Amino acid sequence: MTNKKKGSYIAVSTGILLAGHISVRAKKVIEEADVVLSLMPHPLAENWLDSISREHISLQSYYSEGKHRKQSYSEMCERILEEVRKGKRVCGAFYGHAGVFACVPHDSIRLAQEEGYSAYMEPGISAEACLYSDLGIDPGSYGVQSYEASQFLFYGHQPNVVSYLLLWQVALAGELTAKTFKTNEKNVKAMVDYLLHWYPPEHELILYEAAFLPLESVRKERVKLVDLPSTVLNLHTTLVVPPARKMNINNELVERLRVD
Amino acid sequence: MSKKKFEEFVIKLSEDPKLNQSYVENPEAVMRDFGLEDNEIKAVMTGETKEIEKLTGTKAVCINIVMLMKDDK
Repeated sequence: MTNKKKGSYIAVSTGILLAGHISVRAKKVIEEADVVLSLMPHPLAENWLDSISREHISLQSYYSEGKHRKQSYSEMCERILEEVRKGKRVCGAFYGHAGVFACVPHDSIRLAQEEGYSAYMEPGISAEACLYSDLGIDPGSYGVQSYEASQFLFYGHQPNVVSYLLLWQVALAGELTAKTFKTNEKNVKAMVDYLLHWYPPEHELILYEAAFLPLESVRKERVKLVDLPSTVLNLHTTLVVPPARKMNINNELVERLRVD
Repeated sequence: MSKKKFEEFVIKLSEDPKLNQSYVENPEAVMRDFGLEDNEIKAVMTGETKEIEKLTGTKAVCINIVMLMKDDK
């Protein structure tokens, strides 16, 4: 294709562990871009991007308590597009995997493409990838269902109790306003009540938090389902619900598969 | 200047699994070898979040809500 406009855009994933999880390709994109716009979870990560890029702009300032997050996301996308329209090689640097539980990278790529610019995403190490390493879970063993916690509740998703269930951003489960970053105990209780339809009150869950800095410890706290409302939930806490039952073989289908 | 040194240490620790392993085994010695100052070593060794945040800064909000019921109404 030769009819692309001059500006270009690549959304790169920087991984979870500061500076240590980024791919060779993603780092090169950052180093060679005219400008890097980032959404990082820590000032150290922003300083690191300052040190390896030509120009770095943080998008964190678009977030604020009381502001609807959809508006923040829209303003972030527009800021990225502003730079692309200037004809620059623009890099968006996003924490974890840029395409996982993140709408700004997807939306900004789509908008850039719609305006005729070259745009794509570089994958990376997500929190889910870290979870498998840190908790020693192989998603191939029992299967995994993975939901954003509010979506899980709002749309009445049904857990498959023979698989692992991962609920992301559990601290904000049931949060309807999209304007706050605070945990609501009432909402967490509602989530527990919902899970009690499938799991016993004593079912042991894991609260997981990946380490962003090498100075931090990974959180792997075990807690009973019924005790969840009284535990500390942070914005980056993920709730891991292990299987409640063993898998059953589908004998009928297996027999059918045996027949030549 | 010291804050920069501390940041350099944290990034090095992230990038270098061997150094990270040495740090896990003997954090104080690794920090001293790297040239960190006593107050920095003390902050990390006590594990007090507030003291560490004085050196590293505070974690920012990074939340991405994917779909809200409200948006579908």
